[in-house]
Amino acid sequence: MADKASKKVPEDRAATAAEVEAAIFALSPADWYRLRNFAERRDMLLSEKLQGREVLGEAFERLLRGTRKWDRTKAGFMTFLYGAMRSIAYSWLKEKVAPTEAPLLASSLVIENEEGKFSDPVEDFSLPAVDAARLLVYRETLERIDALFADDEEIRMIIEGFRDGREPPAIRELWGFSQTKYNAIVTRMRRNMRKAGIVDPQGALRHVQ
Amino acid sequence: MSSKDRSDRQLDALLNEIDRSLADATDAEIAEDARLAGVDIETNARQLRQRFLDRARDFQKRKLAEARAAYAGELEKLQNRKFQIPASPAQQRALLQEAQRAMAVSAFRDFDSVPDSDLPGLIEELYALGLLPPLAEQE
Repeated sequence: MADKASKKVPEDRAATAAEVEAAIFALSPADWYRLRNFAERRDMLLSEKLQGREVLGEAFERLLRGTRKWDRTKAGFMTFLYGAMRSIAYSWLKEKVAPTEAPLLASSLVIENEEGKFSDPVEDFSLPAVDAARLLVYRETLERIDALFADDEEIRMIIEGFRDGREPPAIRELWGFSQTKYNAIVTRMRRNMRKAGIVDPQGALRHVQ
Repeated sequence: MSSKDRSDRQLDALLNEIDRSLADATDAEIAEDARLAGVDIETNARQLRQRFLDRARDFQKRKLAEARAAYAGELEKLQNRKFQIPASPAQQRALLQEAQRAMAVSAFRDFDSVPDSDLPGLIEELYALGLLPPLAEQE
């Protein structure tokens, strides 16, 4: 089934096969590394490789089949691929949602937390519900991240901000980090997580097959 | 359940930020990331590029083969088409008049000036254009 992204792009603006091939040639080694990292994080969270699927390969497949089109007048190839991978990961996540979880009245889901605040079911529905097994993977990954950065106070401050549901600008403001300082902390976090193999539970820093 | 209680959202937000930092990083920073992770960035690029170029070329070959097969099929259909041509020139002219009525803009004022020998060919062309009733066509 063609996805919505392919219907929105007029034929004359959609990249041709030759343009896609040229764009593949034009990607730098750093771009390929970025794509691989991005894809591995999504594949890890979805456990897709166990089913022989992976988001980067799927993004290319859909582009070739024309079920997802790249409007080269609007976005660069990398931006297109990031968007395609996000969208595919989201649709695969939705596939995993048990059908019995869907037909609930939003009002029945409003709950009060320990601070007396009520939850917003509309906000909660903006991401599909996930099954218990997957939630366990997420929880364990967060625990591994916590353990990895137990001695890095600055990274812990940023993680705490995200766990509180804050956006990056609010986190910077909360802790008084300049943009440069904040970026440096996130870079440190990114490199250490990668080194620890947290993005890839198979453990190996292997090449995508 | 608020986002504070959902580990999937917390992790998603954190990983989105890692993704953003990776996308914004300079090529030199990415090279350093790869070095620290023990990944040969050039080999990684070469393998991935080859994999997706192979996939793109295979796909193009498959599409070309499909298009060729479809063209051959259409050609065969056209070559094997048989038309029922009325026996006399008068009947042939009558059929052409019918086609002319079917056309919004007529190409001919009448078919009297068309040589008899050209009439069957003209009918075949009009059949091929779908301007004559399909019942007259014989596969």
